[in-house]
Amino acid sequence: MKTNILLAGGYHKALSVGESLLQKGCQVTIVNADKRDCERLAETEGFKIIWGDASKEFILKEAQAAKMDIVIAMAPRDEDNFVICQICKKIYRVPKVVALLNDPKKTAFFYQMGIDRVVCAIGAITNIIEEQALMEKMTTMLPLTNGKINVLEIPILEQAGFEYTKLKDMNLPKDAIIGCIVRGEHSIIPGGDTMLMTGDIVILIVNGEVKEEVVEIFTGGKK
Amino acid sequence: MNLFGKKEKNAYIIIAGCGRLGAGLAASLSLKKKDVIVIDEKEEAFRKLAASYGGLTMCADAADLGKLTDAGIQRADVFIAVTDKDNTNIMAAQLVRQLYGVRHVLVRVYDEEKIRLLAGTGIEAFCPAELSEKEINRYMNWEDEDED
Repeated sequence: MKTNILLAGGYHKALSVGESLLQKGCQVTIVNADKRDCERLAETEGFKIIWGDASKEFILKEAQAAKMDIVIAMAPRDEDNFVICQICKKIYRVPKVVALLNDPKKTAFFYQMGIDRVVCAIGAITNIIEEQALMEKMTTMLPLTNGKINVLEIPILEQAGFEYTKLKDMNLPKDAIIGCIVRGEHSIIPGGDTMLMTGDIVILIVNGEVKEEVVEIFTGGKK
Repeated sequence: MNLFGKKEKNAYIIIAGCGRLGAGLAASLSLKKKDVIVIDEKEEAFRKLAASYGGLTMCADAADLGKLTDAGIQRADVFIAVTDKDNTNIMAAQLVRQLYGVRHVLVRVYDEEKIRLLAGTGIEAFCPAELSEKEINRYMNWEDEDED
């Protein structure tokens, strides 16, 4: 059976997410409060369009919210997305509700209130900007849990001057651990006596707060 | 509900939304020497406040965590959400209840159907249309006639 997905609010985001979901073979319903937006969205074949305020129970009923597998609330205002998700979760028992959020400080609150996934665009953009800024030092960063934890991949260059230094002598911050060292074809799970070599690639798991410090240590900026 | 009994004489009250209801409520509580702050997004909304209003005002989004902290939400005994947007009221009410454990949270909700969202949260919701309907029925004694 096709996955039923409801996109509530938003025009550009709804169009782009909706088209991508259609290609994946999902059944896409879009609710939008603006009549002209609805008409333009209706030009795409395959969408089911409902015109109305998605934070109203009867509009969600008309959109058959109860039959949805996933509801994604992406209206511009956080409070509208919050109410859309609450109605879908509490009244229509939708298995998975996703809310778009502007204010990163409310992420924890949204999760506490039973919303299954919270996507914070500003948080995501912040992470991308940070990653790009750190990229100069040839680092790849994978932010997890909204950037609280990061997985870093750092190549060890000669100028870092780590040849024959034991890991335990490197004074790494407490909130950083080396998960793995990749040396040529081999991967090494390191211990305190493991030594770094030029050309190694180090995979680290670090707390978001210390990531700059860790990058500096491994790229030779600070010892 | 006796919110302002002897025990809570100095209850700190935050009112979100300075519309006719918010402004009226703020003014009358201030006359009774209560500790009140009114929050509204629009500066000009505060012009509705009576000249005698002796409480505080704050120009901010009522659901902004930082601003709520500035307004002293941690020590608030009462939070009354009466902005003109149902969704803002509903979210702000649950936010202060969940994150700050404010004891008395009251919220105006125009759309009767949305009151269900607040069931079991300990938040007191009221709907103007429902209250007016009750008042009309009471005035006309229609409810009594039904019982006869």
